[in-house]
Amino acid sequence: MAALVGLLLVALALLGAPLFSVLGGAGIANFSGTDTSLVVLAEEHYKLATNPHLITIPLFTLSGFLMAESRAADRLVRVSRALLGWLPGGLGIVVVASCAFFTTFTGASGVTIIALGGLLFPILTSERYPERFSLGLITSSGSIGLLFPPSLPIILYGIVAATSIDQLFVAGIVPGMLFLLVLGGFSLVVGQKHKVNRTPFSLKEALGATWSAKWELMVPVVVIVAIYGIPGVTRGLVTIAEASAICALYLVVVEVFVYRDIKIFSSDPAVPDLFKVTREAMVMVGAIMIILGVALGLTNYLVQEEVPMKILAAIQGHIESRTTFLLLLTVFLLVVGCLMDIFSAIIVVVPLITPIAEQYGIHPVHLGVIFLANLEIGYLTPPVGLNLFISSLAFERPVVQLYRMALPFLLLMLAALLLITFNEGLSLWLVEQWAPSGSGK
Amino acid sequence: MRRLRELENALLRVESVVAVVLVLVMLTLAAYNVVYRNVLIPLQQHWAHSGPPLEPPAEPGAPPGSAPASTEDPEPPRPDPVRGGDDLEGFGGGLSDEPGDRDNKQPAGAGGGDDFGGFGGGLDEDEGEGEDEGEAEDEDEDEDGAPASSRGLALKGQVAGAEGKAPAASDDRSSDDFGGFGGGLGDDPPKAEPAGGDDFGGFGGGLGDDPPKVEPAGGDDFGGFGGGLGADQSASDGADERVSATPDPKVDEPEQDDFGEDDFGEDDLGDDDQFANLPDIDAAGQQAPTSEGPVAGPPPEGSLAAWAVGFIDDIKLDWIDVLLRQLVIIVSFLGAMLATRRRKHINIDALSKVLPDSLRRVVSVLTPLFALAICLVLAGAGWDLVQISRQFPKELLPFADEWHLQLMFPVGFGLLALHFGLQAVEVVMMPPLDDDEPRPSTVVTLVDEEHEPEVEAAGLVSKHVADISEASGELRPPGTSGGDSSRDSDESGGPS
Repeated sequence: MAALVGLLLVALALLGAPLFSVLGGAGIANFSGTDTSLVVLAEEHYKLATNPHLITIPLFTLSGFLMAESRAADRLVRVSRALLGWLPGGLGIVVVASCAFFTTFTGASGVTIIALGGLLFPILTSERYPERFSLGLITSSGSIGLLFPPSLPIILYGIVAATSIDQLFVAGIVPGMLFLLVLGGFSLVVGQKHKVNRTPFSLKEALGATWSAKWELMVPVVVIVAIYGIPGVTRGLVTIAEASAICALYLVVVEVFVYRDIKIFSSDPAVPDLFKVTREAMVMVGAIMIILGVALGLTNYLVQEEVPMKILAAIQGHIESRTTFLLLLTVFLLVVGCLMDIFSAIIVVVPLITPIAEQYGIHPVHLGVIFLANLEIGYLTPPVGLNLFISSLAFERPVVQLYRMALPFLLLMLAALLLITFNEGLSLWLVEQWAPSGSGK
Repeated sequence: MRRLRELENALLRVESVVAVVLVLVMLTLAAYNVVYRNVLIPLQQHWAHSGPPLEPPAEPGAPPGSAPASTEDPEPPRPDPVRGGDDLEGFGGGLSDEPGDRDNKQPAGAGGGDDFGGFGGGLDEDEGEGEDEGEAEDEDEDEDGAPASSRGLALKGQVAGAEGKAPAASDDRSSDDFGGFGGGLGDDPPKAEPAGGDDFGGFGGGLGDDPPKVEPAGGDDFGGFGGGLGADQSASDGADERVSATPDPKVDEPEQDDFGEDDFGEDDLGDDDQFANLPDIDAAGQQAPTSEGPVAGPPPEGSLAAWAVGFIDDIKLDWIDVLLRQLVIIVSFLGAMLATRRRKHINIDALSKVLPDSLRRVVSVLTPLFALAICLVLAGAGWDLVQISRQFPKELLPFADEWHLQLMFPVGFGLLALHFGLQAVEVVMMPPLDDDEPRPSTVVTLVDEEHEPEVEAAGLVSKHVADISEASGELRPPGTSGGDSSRDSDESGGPS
C-alpha cells in the first residue's frame, strides 16, 4: 500500500503536479499511517514563523527583481567591459563577471541568461568570438554567481540545514572565485586562439561607466560591510535579516528615485512599476516558500522515523571512506541538480544529506558549499539542466546543440568542483579569517 | 465559465494588491527596526550615560559577562540572570555575537526570564507557574534546582545569538517552551518552566510528558526547524507525543530563540520606569567595546536626556519582529495563489511532454485536482491548528492572538484549493480548439506581460523546465494555452 502511494506520488510529480502538493501528499500519507494527527503538518509549517532569517527570503528576492527589472544589466555590462575588455579574451571575462554579479542577486534562476544573454551574445559574436563558445559561455555563466553572498540559495540552505548563514556567505566566496577564474581563464585562451578584437582601455570610459553604475556596484559592498564590517576596522553592524531590509530599501531608492528605471506606478503594463515588480517577486517567493512550509511536515516525519540514519546504516557497509562518500554525493547531487530546480532541491534533499554527511566528518559549512556548487553545475548537465533549456529558448537553438556547446564548460566546472569538494580549506579558510564566531556547531 | 473567470480575476487582483501592500508594510517595519536598533539604541545608550559619573558599580567594571547577573534587577531577590538574558537579547539582538552576550549565558542561573511570565495564567493549571509575575516562577525554579539550571541554559541558547544552535542550549530550551507570550517572544522560554513537565501541563494536561524536555540535543542538530522537530522526534514515543505536542504551537516559540541568531531580538520590558532597563541598555552597550573610563550614571531626572531615553523606550515596538515573520508566511501564501494562476509552481514535469495529446489533457486536469485535494487536507489541518490555539489563546501581537494569524493556514490553503479547482475547470471547459478564439487578446497579453522580459524570466527561474518548453509554445497542452494566456490578459488588463 505504502509502495503504491509512493509510486503514485512519484508519477504525479513526473507528470507535472506542483511539487508542494506532492510533498504535502507524502506528508499526509505518512502521517495518516501513524497515530499522529495531521495538525502536525500545519504546526510544522507555522514553525517557519520562528525563523529569524525567514524575512531575508522575500526581501532579497525583491532586491533581485528590482535589479532585474531596471537597466542594471546594461550598466553592469558597460562597467565590466570598460574595466576588463582590454584583456585578451576580455569580453569573455566580462560575460563571466557580469553574469556572476547579476546571478548573485537574482538567485540563479535563468534570469541572468535572458537579461544579460540577449545583450552579450551579439557583442561577443561581433567581436569574433566563435558562436559555439559564446553560447556555451553565456549558458554556463547563467548560474555562476550563486556561491556569492547574498544569494538566495545560500540563505535557503542555511535555513533548511540550520547552518550559520554568516559563515556560508563567507565560505562561498573562494570557491565562487574559483569558478570565475576557470571560466575566465578559458575565455582568455579562446580569445588568444581566435585573435578576437579587444576593446582598448579608456580611462575616461572606465570612470564614466563605473560612475554611472556606482549605486548598483555598491550593493554587495553595502551588504557585506554591513554584515561583517571591515576586517580589522569595524565589526559587523547588522544582522543578515537587517541587511536584507537595508538592501531592499536601498534598491528601491536607487532604482525608483535615482535611476528611475522603475516607476512608482504606471498604468502601462509594459513599464515596470513598483507594484508589478513586487508582485512578480512575491510569486517566486510564494512558489518557493509553499514548498518549504509543506516540506517541513514531511521532514518532521523523516526525522521521526530516523530515515537519514537508516540510509546511513544502509550505505555505511558499502562506503567506508570519506572520499568515496564525497564522490558518491557529487554524482547524486549532479543528478538532483539536473532534475530539480535549486530551491526545491535544497528543501527536499538537504535534510536527508546533512546528518549523513556529518557522520562522514564533513564540516557543515563545507557541505553547504559542495551542495550549492553541485547544484550550480547541475544547471548545465544534460539532459534536463535548466540553463540549457533557457538558453535554447532565448537563443532559439535546439537543446541538443547546446549540450555540445556547454560540454567544455561543463568539464571545466566539474574539475573545479572536485577541487572544491576535496579541499575543505577553500571554503573554510576565509571563514576562519572572517566569521569564525558565527559558528553554528 | 466567464463568470468563474471574472471571479478568479477579481480574487487575484485583491490578492496581488494585498501581497504588495504587505510587502511594503514589511519593508517599512523592517526599516523601522533597523533604525531603532542601530541608531536609536546607541543614542539611548549614550544618553543613558550622560549623567554624572557613578562609582563604578560592580557590574560594569566586571567583565561584561558577569555583569548581567548582578546588575539586572533593581530588585535583587530574583535570580535573574535569565532576565538579563532576555533583556539583553531584546536589545542587543543584533549584536548577539558579541562577547557581552555570550557571557551572559554563563550564569546559568535561575530563570529570571520569567518576569514576564507567561501568559498564561490560563495555561498553567499546574503549578501556578504560569504566573505572570516573575517572582512566582522564580520560586518554582528555585525549588527545582535542576530545571533552573536548564533554564539557564536555555537562556544561553536564546542569547546565544549567533550560535543559536549551540546544542546545549537547545536542549534545555525546549523545556521551556511554553511560555506565554509575554511581551516579546524572546522571552517565552523562560517562562516556560524548566521543569518542562509541569508547565507543559499547562497546556496540555494531556501532554503530561513533555516531550520537550525529553528532547535531546538531537532536535537541534537537526536543525532547522528544529526545535519542533526535535521535540517530537526525541520524544520517545513518537505517536503519542506527537499528538500531545501538537497542541502547543507555543512550543514553537522558543525556537525562535534557537534560531535566534541575532535577528531582531525582542524585549519585553514593560517598564514603567524609564531607567528600569538601564541594565539592558548597558548590556547592549557592552558590545561596543566600551573603553569609557568611569561609567557615567543615568542622567538626572527630568533632563532632556532622561526624557529621550524614556521616549526611545516608548517607541519601541516589540511586536514588529513577530509580525514580520508572520507576514512573510502570509505573503508567501498570496504569492503561491498568484503562482497557481500563472502556472509558476515549481514542478518536475518530465513525463507530460512525451504523452500523446489526449492523455496530456487528462493529466492537465488531474494534476490540479490532486493539488486541490492536498490543499483541502492541509487547510483542514490548518483549521485544527486554529482550533487548538483558540483553546489556549496566546497574545502574539498587541492586536492579535496567535490563532488569528494561524487562520492563514485554512484560508491560504483554502484559496489555493479554489485556484486549483478553477484551473481544472478551465481546462475541462476549454475545448482544445477553442485555442484560436482568445488569441487576439492573448497576443496582446503576452506582449503585455512579456514586455517585462526579466520578470518573465524570473518566473522561469522558479519554474521548471517544462514550463519553459511550454512557454515556447510547441509543447503546451492545447487546453491550457488558450485559457492561460487569455486569463493572463484579463488579469493584467484589469487592475491597471
